[in-house]
Amino acid sequence: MPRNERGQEVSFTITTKGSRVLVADDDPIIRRLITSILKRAGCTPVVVTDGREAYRLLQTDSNFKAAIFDMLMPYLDGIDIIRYMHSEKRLMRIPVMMITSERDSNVMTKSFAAGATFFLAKPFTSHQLQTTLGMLFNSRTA
Amino acid sequence: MKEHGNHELRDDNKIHDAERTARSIDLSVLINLEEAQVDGEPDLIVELIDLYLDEAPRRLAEMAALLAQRDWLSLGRTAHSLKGCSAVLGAGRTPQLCAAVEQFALDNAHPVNLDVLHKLQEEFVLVREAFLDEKQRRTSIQGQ
Repeated sequence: MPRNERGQEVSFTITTKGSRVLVADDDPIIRRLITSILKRAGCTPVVVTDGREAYRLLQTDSNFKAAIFDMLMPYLDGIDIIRYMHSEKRLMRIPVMMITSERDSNVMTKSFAAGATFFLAKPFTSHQLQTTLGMLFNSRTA
Repeated sequence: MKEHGNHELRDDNKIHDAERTARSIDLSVLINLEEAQVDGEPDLIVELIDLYLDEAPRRLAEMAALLAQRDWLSLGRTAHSLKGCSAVLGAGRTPQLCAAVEQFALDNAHPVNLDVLHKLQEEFVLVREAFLDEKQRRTSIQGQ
């Protein structure tokens, strides 16, 4: 759990209650896990199964507190979606967490260069995902 | 006496099941994922196991087909994808074997070693049994 300036644990469920979070991942296992963690945090997950679906949704809907993308997806990769988001003023403010099982540091560098806010490598524990989500919600872009 | 013997046999079977599960999958990984359980919803771990047992054979079949088509790029992506969810669920040696297939596929200069795919399929048989044992254990605890 993230901590405040006094070192006390702060739950991020209060500030994120009802917040919509876009989740794009072609893997049903990862989708199910992320969805569960978001629900526990009081968020409303909006789930799509590939990059093209995420792109189409973002064309008409920008009401998201944060977004979580898989690096490799059918049709459009996570990095392509981030590039698109950074070309649109209404989408730029949405912080993005990129998830991948890629260990190559070049991939991480490319993600950050494209505009990813956080990067989470698989395998991750539910605690790691929860903590990264907390940081994502509290990030400057949010 | 005979009844006592049957109990011992059942206990032995339970011990064998537990040992087999512990060998093939990393139970600590699954236990860790329990943190993500939403109160009042069906058992998340059982759902994740079901999803994996549905998804992994599909990916393995896809990998075999892509290998036959010599579509290295797609083969590498499919192996990468199976590697990720297998690692998140602690599915034994599957992530390492997927990484080996991914590496073969990414390096076009070397054809994919068929043996690795066979090992992956053999590993899945063990992982499947272990996940089914764990699912059975969880379902029976919830039924009590």
